Order: sequence, then C-alpha cells, then structure tokens
Amino acid sequence: MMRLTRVELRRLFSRRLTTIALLGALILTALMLFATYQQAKPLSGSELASQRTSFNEARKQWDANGPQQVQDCLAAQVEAQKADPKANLGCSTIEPKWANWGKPVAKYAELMPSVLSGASMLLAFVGFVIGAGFVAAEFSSGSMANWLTFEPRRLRVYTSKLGAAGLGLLPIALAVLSLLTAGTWLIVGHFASTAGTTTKVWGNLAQMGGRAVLLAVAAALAGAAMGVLFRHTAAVLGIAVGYLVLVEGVFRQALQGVQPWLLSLNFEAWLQHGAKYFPLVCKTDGQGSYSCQGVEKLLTFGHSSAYLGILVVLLVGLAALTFRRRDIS
Amino acid sequence: MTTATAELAISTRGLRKTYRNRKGRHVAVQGLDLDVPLGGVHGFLGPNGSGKTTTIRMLLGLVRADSGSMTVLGHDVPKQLPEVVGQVGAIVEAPKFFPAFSGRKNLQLLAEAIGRPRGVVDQVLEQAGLGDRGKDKYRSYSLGMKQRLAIAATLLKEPDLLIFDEPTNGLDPAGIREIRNTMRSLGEQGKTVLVSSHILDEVEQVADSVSIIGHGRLLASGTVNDVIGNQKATSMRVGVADLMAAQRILTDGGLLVQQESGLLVVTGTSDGAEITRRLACHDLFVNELTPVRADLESVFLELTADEGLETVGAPR
Repeated sequence: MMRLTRVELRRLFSRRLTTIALLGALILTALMLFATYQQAKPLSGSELASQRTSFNEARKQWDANGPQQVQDCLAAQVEAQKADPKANLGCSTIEPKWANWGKPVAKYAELMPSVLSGASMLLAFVGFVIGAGFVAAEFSSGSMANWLTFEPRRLRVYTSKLGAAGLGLLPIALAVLSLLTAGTWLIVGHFASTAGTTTKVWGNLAQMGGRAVLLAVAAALAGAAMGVLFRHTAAVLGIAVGYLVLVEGVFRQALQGVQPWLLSLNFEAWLQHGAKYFPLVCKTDGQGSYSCQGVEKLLTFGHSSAYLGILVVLLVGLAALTFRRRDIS
Repeated sequence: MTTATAELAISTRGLRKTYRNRKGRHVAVQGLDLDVPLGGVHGFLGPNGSGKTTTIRMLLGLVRADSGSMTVLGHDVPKQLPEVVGQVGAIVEAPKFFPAFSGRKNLQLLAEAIGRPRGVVDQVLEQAGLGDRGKDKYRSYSLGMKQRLAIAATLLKEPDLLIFDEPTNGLDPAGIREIRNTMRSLGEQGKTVLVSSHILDEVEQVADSVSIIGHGRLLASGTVNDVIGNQKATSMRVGVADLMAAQRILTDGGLLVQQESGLLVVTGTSDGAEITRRLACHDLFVNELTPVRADLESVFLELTADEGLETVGAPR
C-alpha cells in the first residue's frame, strides 16, 4: 500500500498539470505579496502632496459650507429616525480632518488573516485541479486498465491515488503558506507595523493556516474523487466552474435561504472559525410597501466543519463504490 | 485447484457478459467455455465484436462477468487474481501508457508498483529493442514502438502467461513479423501465450492451438492442425498427362475445374476415387491426387456461416 502511494506521489509530481498548477500558485503568491506591498507601503512624496491638496480643498469647502452641511445632515437624520429610531447618519464626523486623509498604517496582525483567507481559496482551487487531473487523466488515457493489470486490488489502487493527491498537496500548501507568512512579515515589517503580533495572534494564525492546509487537502481528495466519477478532467472542471458561475454567481441572490449550504460561505466559516452572512428578509409593511433588508446571521464553525466533512466523505465513498464496481475500458 | 484446471493456463465455463447501452442490452459473451493449454501459443480467433476482448478483460478483472467461472493458472478469478497477477502479463487492445512520460518512466512506475528493481527496466527495454529510445516521451513513439513498450511492460513481471489482444493491429509488415517472432519465442520458452486476433493468417502462423469464437460462443477448439483437419477438404489437386482432356471430362461431369501450375484443381468435391474412376474410364490415369486442405480462413468461414457473422478482413 505504501509502495503504491509512493509510486503515485512520484507520478503526481512528474505530471505537467501539477507543474503548471504549482507555477500558477507561485505566480499568484507573488501577486498576493505584491498586493500586500501596495497596501503596506507609505505614500510617496507626490501622493502625499496630492492628498494634502485634496484635504485643503475639502477644508476650504467646509469653512464655506460646513455649518449648513451639518444642519442638512441633522435634518435628514431626524427624517430617517421616523422610520428607524436608531438611525445615525454620522453628522458629527463629516468635518474634514487630516487624520482621515492619507493612508492608515498597515498592521501585520490585521492584514495576515485576510492574506491567509485568500491564499486558502487559491490552494483549495489548486488542490481540486491537481486531484481531478491526476486521476481523470488515467481514465481518459486508458492507462488505468494497464495499471490494474499490475495491481488488480481496486480499493488499494483507489486509496493510493487519493492518498497521493491528498499527501501531495501537503508540502505545496505548507510551502505557499510559509512563503506568504514570511513574505508578508518582511514587507509589513519594513514598510508598516508588526506591532501587536502577540503570541495569541500567532496562535490564531497558525490555527487558520492549519485549517487552510486541511481545506486544500480536502479539495484535492474531492477533485480526485470527482475524477474517478466523471473520468475527464474537463468534465470535472466544467462542473466546478458551472457551480461557481451559476450557483455562487448568477443565482446567489435568488438563493437567500440556501446560503448556509453555499461552499464559499462554508469555506469562509471554516477558515475564519465562523462567518457572518446577511440574507435578505423581505416583507410588506402596514402601508403596503414592500421592502427587503439584510439580516445578520452567523454560520458557525461547527456547521461548516460538519457540512464540508460530510460532503468530502460522501464524494470519496461514492467514488470508491463506483471504482470498485465499474468496468474499466 | 482441480487436476483438469491445473493443466490449463486458462479455463472458463459458462462465461457470460451483457452490456447495457442506450439501444438496450448487448450480449458480448454468452456461455463461453474456453480452455487454453499450458505452454505454447494459443490463438483466440473471432471476428470483430465476437467477444474476444471482453473475455480477456474479464480474465484480467477489468470487466465483471455476469455469470460463469474462470480460472487463470489454476486460480479462480477474479477472486484470486491478486495471487496470480504477478504471473500474467497482458496487453489489452492498444497499448496505453502516460503519454507525457518517457517509455522508461512509464516502466519504472510499473516496476516500482510491483516491487521490481529499477535495473530490470533497462533490461526489458533492451529486450524489446527500445534501449536507445527509452528516454523519449511515449507520445513520440510509433505504433510499433508503443507495442514493443507494452511487451516490455509485460516482461517486467517475468510472467508464465502472456495475453496479447490484437497485438499487430496497425503495425507495418516488419513490426508484424517482429511481434510474431516475439510471441513464437515466448511460446518456445515454455510460457503460455494467448493471442487474440481477427487475422486468421497471423494465428495460423504462430499458434500451436486455437479457439474460434463467434457471437460470444466457442465454435471450435484444438490444435491448429486438428481444427483444419476436422474440416472436409472441398477441392482436390489432380495430376494427369493430358490436362485439357481431363478438364473437359471432369467439367462435363459437373465439376468446377481450373488449371493451376501444371495441375488441375477440382473444386466442389473431396472424393478422389470418383475423380480417378471418371478419368480412368477415358484412359486418362492420375499421377497425382492431393486433397487441398482447408486453411484457417475457410474453416472460420465455414464455422461462422451458420452464425450469421460478418466475414473477417483479408488475411495479411
């Protein structure tokens, strides 16, 4: 069994699709680091001068019209409070202040979770593509039949292929996340601030990184299982893209009630240890006017863990049953 | 393992396989009883679609049989296939390897999967005549080289039984001869080679014994000579001093007669005594009388005539 998995790992890392996916991951990692640099770097002299000009202009307008603007704002607030007594239009904060101009100093502890979140989505996608291509290519090229004439125990073969897809993603995910963690630390440390990165913050980041690695591995397993079920990389990727475009994109607004079952939200809840979402609740008031409002809800970590876990187990199990019984051509 | 199956490399009883497709059910193999003796080359003949490849796939555990039993080298398959697979090398239809990997890399992965040392890969590549092309990508190989790589792969196991499914499909004459020589040589080494083909001439040239199937059923089986010899000769070669006179007499008697290489070939009868009697009545005396043996092609056509099967392609 270990021997078969070792062979599959060798094959995985010899594949061109794996190399292309790795290169893609590296390029996207570099782009993410570049985006971090853009966010962390202080304003240049010319940008600062431009900001100063803009502030002076706003200040000039405030000096001329400020009291009137505050009065208008307060009047609008009174009007708004008729519908919602808690309405606050922030009339006390509309005066332009230099502290609100320019660029806030980026902090590592605040920046890193969003970097990790983006990276984990990228890794999940890479894992899915690698897993799907790794297994489906064997069916479409016909080499699966040849392989089974050397090792006819199908469950062993299946386990070794999925095992290799999952194990193969481990070093890739660890490398990408380490690169991002270290790169972001260096960039933010040089241009902005790493203050406040306490042991607790590191602990949270480590846990989030761990969950990102697990998500990538699960995506690779799901991709490989779908590769077994559909036997063509293009078919698997077509289904994945179809889901993203249709379910997560086009019909998302119409699917308010099923948001807790959308993959993207569950990924977020898994990574961030819970995620808020705002389904629209629509109603007709006493005067007959129809209105919709986003209501804050929490998708718990437990929900996302169970949901994603069951999905992966179902896919892997179904693919195992199919592979065990299917005639191989 | 029974004594009977111990002497057989392959044995199937009542083997049946049905495929379902959009048009309904298609019976590929129906109650096939096949015996392949140990050692030598055994031809597995049948027209396209007669169930040869499905039978081979069932023997190798790639396709599940609906019913029936199979043994390979005395082991019940597919149940005991893992125990015997190390002794069985097989090429099913066209060779299928990873196209982006080199020939050597493909074989290295297979060798590693079955725990064979890496050194054996170069050995079998040499044996298959691919020693200097092992590093090239599989997709750049010609059909003949792909076939040779597939043979090299079967040799990784040091098998006792080799199963070649249509091994010369698409090969040029030199490639065909090479593959035939390889099969012959493996048979002479005491290995059992099962070669399936729809090309009768090919099987006749390399096989010691033969099984003929049509519509998924066994039509005939035995040594090549027996299978041919069991069929009635349908023509006679006749030597006589006056060919013209003899031809006229026999033609007048309702027989179809042609001159060929200084002899008469009389078609439509295998009755030598009748030919001799007719000619002797006209003072023409036979100096040569030979029944023309049916070749495998005519045997095949005769056997499959009642099955309503399509005629196979011309032998190469």
